[in-house]
Amino acid sequence: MKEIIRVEGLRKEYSTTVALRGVDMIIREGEWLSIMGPSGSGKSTLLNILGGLDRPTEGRVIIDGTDINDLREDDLSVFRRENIGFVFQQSHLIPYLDATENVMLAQYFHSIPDRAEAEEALRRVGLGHRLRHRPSQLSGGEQQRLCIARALINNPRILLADEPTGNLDRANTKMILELLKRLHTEEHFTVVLVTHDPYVSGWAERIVHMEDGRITGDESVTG
Amino acid sequence: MILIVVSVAAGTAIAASLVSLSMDIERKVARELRSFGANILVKPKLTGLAGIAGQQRYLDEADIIKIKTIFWRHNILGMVPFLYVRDRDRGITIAGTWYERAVKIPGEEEPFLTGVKGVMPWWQIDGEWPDGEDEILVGVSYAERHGIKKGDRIRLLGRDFTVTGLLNTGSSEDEMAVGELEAIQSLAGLDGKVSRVFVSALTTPMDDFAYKDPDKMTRTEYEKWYCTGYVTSIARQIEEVVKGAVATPVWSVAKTEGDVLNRLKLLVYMLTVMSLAGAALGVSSTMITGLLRRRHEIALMKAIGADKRKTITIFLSEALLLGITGGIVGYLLSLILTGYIGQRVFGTALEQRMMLLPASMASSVVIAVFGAYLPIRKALAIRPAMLLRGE
Amino acid sequence: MRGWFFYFLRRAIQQRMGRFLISSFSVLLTVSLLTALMIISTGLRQKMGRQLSAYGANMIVSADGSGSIPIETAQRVSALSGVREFDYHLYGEISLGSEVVEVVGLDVSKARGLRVRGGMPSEEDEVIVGRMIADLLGLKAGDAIVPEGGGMELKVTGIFETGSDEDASIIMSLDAVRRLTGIRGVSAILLNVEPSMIESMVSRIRQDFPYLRVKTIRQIAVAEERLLRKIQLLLSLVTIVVVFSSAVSLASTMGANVIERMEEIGLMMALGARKGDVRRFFFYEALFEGVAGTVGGIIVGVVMAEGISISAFGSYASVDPLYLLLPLFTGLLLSVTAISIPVRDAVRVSPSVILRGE
Repeated sequence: MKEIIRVEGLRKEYSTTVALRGVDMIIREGEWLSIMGPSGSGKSTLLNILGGLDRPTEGRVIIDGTDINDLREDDLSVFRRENIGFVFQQSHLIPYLDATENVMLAQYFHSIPDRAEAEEALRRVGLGHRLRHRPSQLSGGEQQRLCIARALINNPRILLADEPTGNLDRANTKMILELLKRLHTEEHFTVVLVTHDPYVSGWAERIVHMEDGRITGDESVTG
Repeated sequence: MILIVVSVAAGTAIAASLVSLSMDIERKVARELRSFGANILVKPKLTGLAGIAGQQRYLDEADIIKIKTIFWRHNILGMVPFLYVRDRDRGITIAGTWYERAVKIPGEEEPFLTGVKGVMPWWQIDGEWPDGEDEILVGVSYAERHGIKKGDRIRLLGRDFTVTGLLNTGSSEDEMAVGELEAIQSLAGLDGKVSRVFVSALTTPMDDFAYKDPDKMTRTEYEKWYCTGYVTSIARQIEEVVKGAVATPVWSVAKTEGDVLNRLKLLVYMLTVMSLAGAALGVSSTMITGLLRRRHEIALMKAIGADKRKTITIFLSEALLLGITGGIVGYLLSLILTGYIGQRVFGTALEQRMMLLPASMASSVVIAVFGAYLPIRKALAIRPAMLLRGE
Repeated sequence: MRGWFFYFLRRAIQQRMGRFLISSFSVLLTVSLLTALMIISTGLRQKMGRQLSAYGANMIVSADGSGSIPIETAQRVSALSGVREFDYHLYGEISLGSEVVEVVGLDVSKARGLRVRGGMPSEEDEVIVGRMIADLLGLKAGDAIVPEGGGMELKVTGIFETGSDEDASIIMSLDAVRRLTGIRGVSAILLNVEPSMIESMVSRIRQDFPYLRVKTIRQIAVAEERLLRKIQLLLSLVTIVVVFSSAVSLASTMGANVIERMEEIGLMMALGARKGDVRRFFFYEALFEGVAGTVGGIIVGVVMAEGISISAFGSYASVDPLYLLLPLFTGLLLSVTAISIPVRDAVRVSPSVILRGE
């Protein structure tokens, strides 16, 4: 498989703490990778840097041949909307837009909103009956499914998920992971999923362990 | 948060400044209006039509200072005596007056500074004010006709004077010569005599009550009239101390003055009310938005088990603190503001009122608490789960 | 593409109507205060001037030497621009028994500064008598006087007092003086001129009517100008201060709005919006709030100004549309700035910081 993300000597320092102390890794296209670690291990920071939401203090992130550190802010935004979809622990939905419109907003920033396409995406994540509901009218699991639909609407090559099931119970967690698995199999995008939960990371093809800003283990799960 | 304090403080500052402005505006403008000239004219009583025709009667100069001892003495801003003497050879009237004089008032420590310079600020001198008995001013119209220039010597009433300047007043003085009162008195043989006294007094605008005939008033009415600073009651009090005098209000000045004052007062009051309402609404809307932002916090408190009462208490005491801080800062700001405005517009600072401190604090607290109460109520009505989930 | 921009904008406004109204309201407040204060302070000069002109004329035009001004000339002078009020006076003397008394002919309805006991004259043969004359001749309202040689009887309707030398004269209509003395024209034109135009008015009259004498009454002119300047300065300072304070609450209200929507901003950035996209979104929202608030504010401001003007001066304030431009631009500029500055700061914050959440 072709490599899609290459990380070299990544360091991230905040004013008082060091979040990443030299991280190197390669992620291949179509891979489902989990990053595991206790809270404060730097896994979320790494994910944010991979998605261009944050910039490293030192080191390089090369995605599909582009060093994203070389991109200017606005080019980074363009790069993000072309290549990356995000799912966060908090759903971060726009409260005054309904489910369909939340998806359409992502389309708007990418290219042109298409209501039919957005509704179709919501049906695929099982929200066909919730098209006109506002986020506050949706359950936690439904909100996360809406986020997945939104993250994938522009056919990104990489899906970055930060504790996407962190606020959900086991049943909902399973439902979300099954949904992700199905979409991943159908569409072959790369998944990088940060979690502290062994159950969640167990769904991955490869697990990277992190502790104290360093990678402490890298195992392939054969399943 | 800082912005909220700033907005509460700014609102309070406006309110406090405008209130002290509107409380002081009447006195300040009344003083300004005095530059329109004397509003009471004191003349000798006439006994026959002969008086009008030219036979002169006089007042005693010694009585003039008594004007500063009447009930409303503090409202007397100035008094200027004039003695008119005719020089038939030259065909000119010579007026003797006080340019600027420190007069000793019985029972007062400080001498009282008065004269045409203060009471008739529109007098314009091309040249210098005279200094000494043998110097004199000549009215422009007379000077123009007779080719008199400043620096010339001129013989009046049998004595040589140096013309130090030409006087332009736009009224009858333009045809006269104006000299030092004592010099004219001795030349005319009228020592200690004056023809007229112009009095400039701060007065209360005339109202319906003031127009009643004082001689037909009941005792209490008369008492009230006498002790109110109407131009008529001040004139009456002047008549009581100056022998053989009639003191009449100069109605064209006195009436308009009251009118202008009343309207301006009304205008400033209304602007104050308008701005107060504006400031109150502005501060409440700031408070409302500020608290809406913190609905999460409110919901969280409810979620961890604080009851409604406790939550309201916590946030309201915060608003209270905000109101007090804003009130104090606003009051201090208003001191600077009123000082500046007073200085800039009227040349003297507006009177500072300590009572405005508690008042401005109270109003800013009321506004802050009121502005806080609505959004808190609203936040409490929502189920915490919904808020914490991200709505 | 544009259509969708406004689609989302409309949704944002519709669904957040409460906030939209609060923001618009804070704009409305500032704009209405500014509008009202501007209308009042610009109209003040004229309105107060009208009040102050009651102090009397500030310019007197008379014939050079003795004689009178032909009525046509008088009308041309009083029609000059800058004349706020005018009055014609005709002076003469009549004999009453053994005494010669000064008579003044004028339009009694325009006379100011007279305090009259009794009624005002309305007919040609009705007069008011100065207090001194009345005292000396023992006249009271209702009496009749017959001047020598005039061939008409005059009815005394009241006794007047001015406090100055006029108290030794009799006031009647211009026509009555003409009939009694046979003088044509007028003796003097009393003008009340816009204080700022006095100088130019004097030279204008001297040039166009060389045979007339012009005198400015400095007492009135100087004092009026001084007072008006002070009041106007006062109002301008009050305006600045009031508008400043309401602008502070406007900024904090609208600024708080942005902080509240930080999450939204971070999310838009994560979805690939450029800084400019986010700024544009908020800019237009602020613009709509600004337009709504400004239009409402100008209307409310004009109404307030009229209300104040009517109760303080008894007349409507004239509204020059040109003066409304300032509140208009101030309202729009303030609302757009109040949003743009916090949004500019917000898009600079890394989205990861915003989205990390609680």
